[in-house]
Amino acid sequence: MKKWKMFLRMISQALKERKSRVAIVFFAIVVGIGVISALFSVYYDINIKMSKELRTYGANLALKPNSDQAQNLSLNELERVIAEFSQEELVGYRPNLYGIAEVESQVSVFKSNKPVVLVGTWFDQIDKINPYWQIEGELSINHDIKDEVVIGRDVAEKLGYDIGDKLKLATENTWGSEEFLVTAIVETGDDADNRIFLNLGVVERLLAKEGQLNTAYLSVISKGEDLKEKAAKINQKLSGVELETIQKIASSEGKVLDKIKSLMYLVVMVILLSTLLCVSTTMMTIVAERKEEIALKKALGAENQDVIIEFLTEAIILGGIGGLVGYGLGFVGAQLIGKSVFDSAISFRSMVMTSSFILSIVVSCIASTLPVSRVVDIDPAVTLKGE
Amino acid sequence: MGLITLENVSKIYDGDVRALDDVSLEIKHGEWVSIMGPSGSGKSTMLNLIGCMDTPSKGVVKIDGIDISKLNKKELTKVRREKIGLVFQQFHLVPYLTAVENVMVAQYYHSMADEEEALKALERVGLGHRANHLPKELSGGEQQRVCIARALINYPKLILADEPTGNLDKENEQIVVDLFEELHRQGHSILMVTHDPKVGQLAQRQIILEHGKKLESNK
Repeated sequence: MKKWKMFLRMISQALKERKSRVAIVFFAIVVGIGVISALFSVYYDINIKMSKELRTYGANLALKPNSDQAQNLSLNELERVIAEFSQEELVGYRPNLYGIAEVESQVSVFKSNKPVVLVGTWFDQIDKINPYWQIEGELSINHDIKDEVVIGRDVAEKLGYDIGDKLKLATENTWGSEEFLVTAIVETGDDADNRIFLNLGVVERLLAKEGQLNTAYLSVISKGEDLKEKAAKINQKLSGVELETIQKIASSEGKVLDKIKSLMYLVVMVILLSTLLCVSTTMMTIVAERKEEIALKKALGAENQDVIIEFLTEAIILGGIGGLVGYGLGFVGAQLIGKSVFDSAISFRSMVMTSSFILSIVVSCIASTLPVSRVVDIDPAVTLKGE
Repeated sequence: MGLITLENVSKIYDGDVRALDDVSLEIKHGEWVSIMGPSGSGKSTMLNLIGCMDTPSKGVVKIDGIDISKLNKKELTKVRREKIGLVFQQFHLVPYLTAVENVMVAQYYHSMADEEEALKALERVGLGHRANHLPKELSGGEQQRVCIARALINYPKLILADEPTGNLDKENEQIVVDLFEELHRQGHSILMVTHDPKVGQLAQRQIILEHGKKLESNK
């Protein structure tokens, strides 16, 4: 019989002999590695998932013309900036062209015209860039619709407009007033409540600023890369534009992610420590229980290293199988976390599986080192005499 | 040259406790020697020295020409593995291995496990039919016979038996004694520690120890 066959025969029989102790070690590794692999699976997705979640706070990048070179942006420039982001990164982008319009007030008896800030934009991007806006009515998603207007809550109240009303407005570039149908009223809690919104193309015509923009807002998912650095790179690459992070949003994103990461590291350390302790104390008991067997093997000619290798192999087998089972359960756990917290699946990462497998073997070996080192101290002459 | 030579061997513990005190003896190839004496007389100490599980404080212990007095633990293990077959009073079998696997363990640490040869060794002690039984399924006598098969499997120069019949009933004692007699007839060298004068008398030579000193020998 080949030596390794006898070796495996002894290892497998030894593991079968102490089912309850083996079960404790196995269970400790499965639970420890399960939780750690679940956390790591979530950890590697958390940047993307959290960033997606935080997109509900709205845009995190603002595009403006570089004040040294131009007063306005062009749609082309916006498209060039957008091309710097992948489809997965880009949640949405909304261009803005501002101007002043005279809007007929329905409240005063004489129906006088009042100046209102006019914004040309794309309505289909509002829920991506400003998801917190309260919208009453419907926003048209077609960029080509020319006769619909969306008004801010304050404008609606001050000038006496409601959904379905006809709103007359004029700019200094138009001959007389043009009529638009109010299709939605937005309540934003900021300056946008005092504005009226039309499709970008319509405002370009009304202000005679074809193809021009004042600003654009972008909502971008950062995949681990610092958004500020990426914006700086784009600014360097594309002249005439200035892409800035919206500090309030971008920095709170970073802070939340950093805190979650720190918490996860702490949890992983605590779990690793408790797994180590559990495996170590159980291995200590196993070595104590098998003291006579160790002494016998040494009396029969086994060297310390032979016996230590046998014990460490048992630990490696338990660690390896426990690690794989733990990873499997951890992956299922990660899916449950993903579903309940982010409402999406957590991606399979072979790197996490390999790391869990290696970590479980390392943990079980480290945990066994102290107990197994006691093999050296076992004196066959004393132990076999029962002293 | 004898198989085992002890020259003025002493083993001193804690500075002044003399477990063995200036003992000299020689055991020849093929000889069966029994060591007898009361508890604390130094029998176990002598057994440990000859079994390479300890080294003397003074004197020289030679096994098959090798002076083990200055060997380190690793070298002692090697000599024990190569030269000595051990039989214990409490049998000491690996509880989760079958009879044949217990015999193979000794082969494994010596060189190469050979199941066929291990089975033959069990047949030699009359236990071929019990080869696949665990120690707990065997009687005391059967367990001791497995130990003897294990001790023989690597063709040792010396069989070192520590009270091999001490834990056996009369019937099993006789079986084991018969086995030792047969082994001796086949030319094996045997050193047996025993309390039992009847078993001790079966040896060619008896060495009596008391307070660590060799009192008498019948030859």
